[in-house]
Amino acid sequence: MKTAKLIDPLCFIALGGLTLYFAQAHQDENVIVSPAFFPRMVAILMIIMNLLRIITIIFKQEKVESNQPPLTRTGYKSVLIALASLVGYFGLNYLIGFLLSTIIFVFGLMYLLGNRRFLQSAVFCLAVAFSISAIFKYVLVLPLPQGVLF
Amino acid sequence: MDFDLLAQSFVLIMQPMNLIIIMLSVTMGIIIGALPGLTVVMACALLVPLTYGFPAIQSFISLLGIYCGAVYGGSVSAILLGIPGTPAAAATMIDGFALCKKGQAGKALGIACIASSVAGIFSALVMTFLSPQVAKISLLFGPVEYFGIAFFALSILVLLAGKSLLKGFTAILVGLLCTTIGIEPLTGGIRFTFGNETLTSGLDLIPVAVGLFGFSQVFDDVMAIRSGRSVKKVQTLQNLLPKWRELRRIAPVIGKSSLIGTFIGVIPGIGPETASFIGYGEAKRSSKNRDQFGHGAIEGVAAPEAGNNGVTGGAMIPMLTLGVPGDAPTAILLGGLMLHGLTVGPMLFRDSLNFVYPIFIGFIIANIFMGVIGLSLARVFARVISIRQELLLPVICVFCFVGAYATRLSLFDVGVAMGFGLLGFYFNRNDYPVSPILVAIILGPMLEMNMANALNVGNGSFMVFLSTPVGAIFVILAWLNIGLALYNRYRKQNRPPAGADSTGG
Repeated sequence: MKTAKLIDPLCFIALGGLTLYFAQAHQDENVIVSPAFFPRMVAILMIIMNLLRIITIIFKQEKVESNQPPLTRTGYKSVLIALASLVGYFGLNYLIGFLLSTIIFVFGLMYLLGNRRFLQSAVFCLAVAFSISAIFKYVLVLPLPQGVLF
Repeated sequence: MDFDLLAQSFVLIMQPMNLIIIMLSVTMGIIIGALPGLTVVMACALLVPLTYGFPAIQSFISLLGIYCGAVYGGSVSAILLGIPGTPAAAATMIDGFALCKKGQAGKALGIACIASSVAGIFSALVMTFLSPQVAKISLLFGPVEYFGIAFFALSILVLLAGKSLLKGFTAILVGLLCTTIGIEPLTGGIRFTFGNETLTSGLDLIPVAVGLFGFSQVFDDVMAIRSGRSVKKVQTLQNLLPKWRELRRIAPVIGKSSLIGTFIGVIPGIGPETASFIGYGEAKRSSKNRDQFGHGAIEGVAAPEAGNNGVTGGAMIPMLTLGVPGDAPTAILLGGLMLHGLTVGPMLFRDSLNFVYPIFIGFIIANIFMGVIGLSLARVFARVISIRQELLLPVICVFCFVGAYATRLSLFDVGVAMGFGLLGFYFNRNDYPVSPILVAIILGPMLEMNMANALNVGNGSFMVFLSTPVGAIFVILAWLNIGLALYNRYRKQNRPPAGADSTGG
C-alpha cells in the first residue's frame, strides 16, 4: 500500500527532473534573469515538496483519509469508455465536422449511459446538434469544425 | 461632482428604451456567462459590432449590462454542474457545488446573485463618486507591487490545499509549470514547445478550466451512473433568498470582498479570478466556521461572487480616467468607446461629462437588474439539473468541447482540455486540490514577468521585493499566510486525540 502511495511523488519528482533537464537549453549567462530561472525554481520546489512527501509516507503514517469511493473494475471501465467516447468525438469532428459527429456522439453516449429509448434519443441528439450549431453560427458567429472529409 | 447633471443622467437612463436595452443585455450576459467555455470577453466582443449603429450611450450601457451579467453568469454552471462558466467562478464552485449536492442549489444561486449585485453596486458607486481619486492607486503599482500581489494571491491558495499541504503546494507548482510553456515574457524566447507551433502561445486558460472542471466532472458522473450511484439530488427551489440570520452571516463577507474586488479591479491586469480567490481566502481565514468551507459554507459562495463582481466597477476606473483597461473585458469596452469617437483619460471627465454620468448611472442600474433577473432566472436554471443525467451529460460534454474549441478555433485546445480532464479526475481521486492549478496558471505569467523585471531592476538581489512599502506589505502578508497555514496544520496533527485526559494524569 505504501508503495502505491509513492507513485505520485515519484512521478512529480520525475517531472521536476525533466523540467530541469530541458530548462538547461534556455540558460543565458548574459542576463541577470534568464528564461531558465523561473522553470528551474518551480522544478526545484516541486522536487523538494515531493521528497518531503516520500519521507512522510515512509516514516510517518499518512493520516489523510480519502472521501472518494474506491475505484472498482466497473469504475475503471467507465472512465475508459468516457475517454474513448471523447477521443472518438474529437476524431470525428476532425474528419466529418461538428454537426454529424455531435449527432453520433450524443446518441452513442446516451446509449452507453443506459438510455434505451431510441426514438427519444434520436430526436434529442438531432435537436442538440442543430441548436448548438445554429447558436454558434448565427448568434455567436463562431465557426465550428467543418471536417476534412466533407 | 455636478449633481444636476447626475440627476439629468438618471432621468435619461430611466427612459423605457434604455431600461429595455440594459435588461436584455444583462440577461444575454448571464446566459453566455453560464455556458462553460464562453467567456466574459467573448460576450463583450460579440456585442460591440452589434451595437455599433446605436447611439454612444445606448451602445455602452448595453456593453456594461452584458459585462456584469456575464461575470455573475459564470457562477450558475459552477453551482449547478460543478463546471465554472468563467474562470472567475472557480472559487464559487467549491462551496456552491457542495450546496447543490446537498439539495440547496436554489439557496446557492440566490446568495451568489445577491452578493454579485451588492458588490457590483458598491463598485459602481466607488466608480461614480471617487474615480479620479481612486485612479491614483493604479499609478502606485510597478513590478515589485505586482509581484507582491501575485505572490500574496498564491499564498491564499494554501488555504485551499485541503487535507495535505504538500499536495496543495504540488498542485500550485503544477499550475506554475504549465505557464512556462510558450513564449517567455521578458526575452521572448520559446520554451518547452517541442516543435509544436500551437504551443508557442502557451496553454490557453479556457481549455484548461474546461478540462479540469468540466471533463473531469464528466468522467466522475459517467463512473457514478454506470456504478449505479445516483448523482442527482432533489433541489429545494423555494427560499432563494437567504434567511435573516444567514444574511447577517454573509453581510460582512460581502462587504469585505466588495472592497477587495474593487481594489483589485483598479489595478490593471489582475482580473476577477484573483479577486474571487482572495475574497474566498480572506472569508475562510476570518471565519469561525472554517471547517465548513469546501463543504457548502454560504460564506464560501458569497465571498468569491462579491469579489469577482466588485472588480467590474473597479476595472472601469483606470479605463475611464487613464485609458488603461483594468482587465480584459474593459479592454473590449475601451474599444467600444473609441468606436464612437470618445477619447478616454482626464479629458473625458472635462469634456464629456454628459456621456460619463449616464455610464455611471447605467452601470448601477445594470447591477440592480442583474440582481432581479438573476433571482428570477435562478429557478429556471436550477431545473436544468432535474433533467435526466443520460440526457444532460452528453450535452455538457458537447458544451465543454465547443467551449474549449471556441477560444482559438483549434482542435488542439480540445485535446488540451481532455488531457487536463484526465489530470483533474486523477487529482480528485487522489485528494489533490484542483482549483490551485487554475489560479496558478492565471497568476503565473504575472508572477514570472514581474519577478524578472524587479530582479533586473534590483541587480539580482531578492531584497528588491521589500524595497517599496506596498510590495513589502504584500510579500510579508504572503509569508504570514504560509506560516500560519503550516502552524495550524502542525497544531492539528499534534492535537491529543478526543477523550484523552488533558491533565496527563
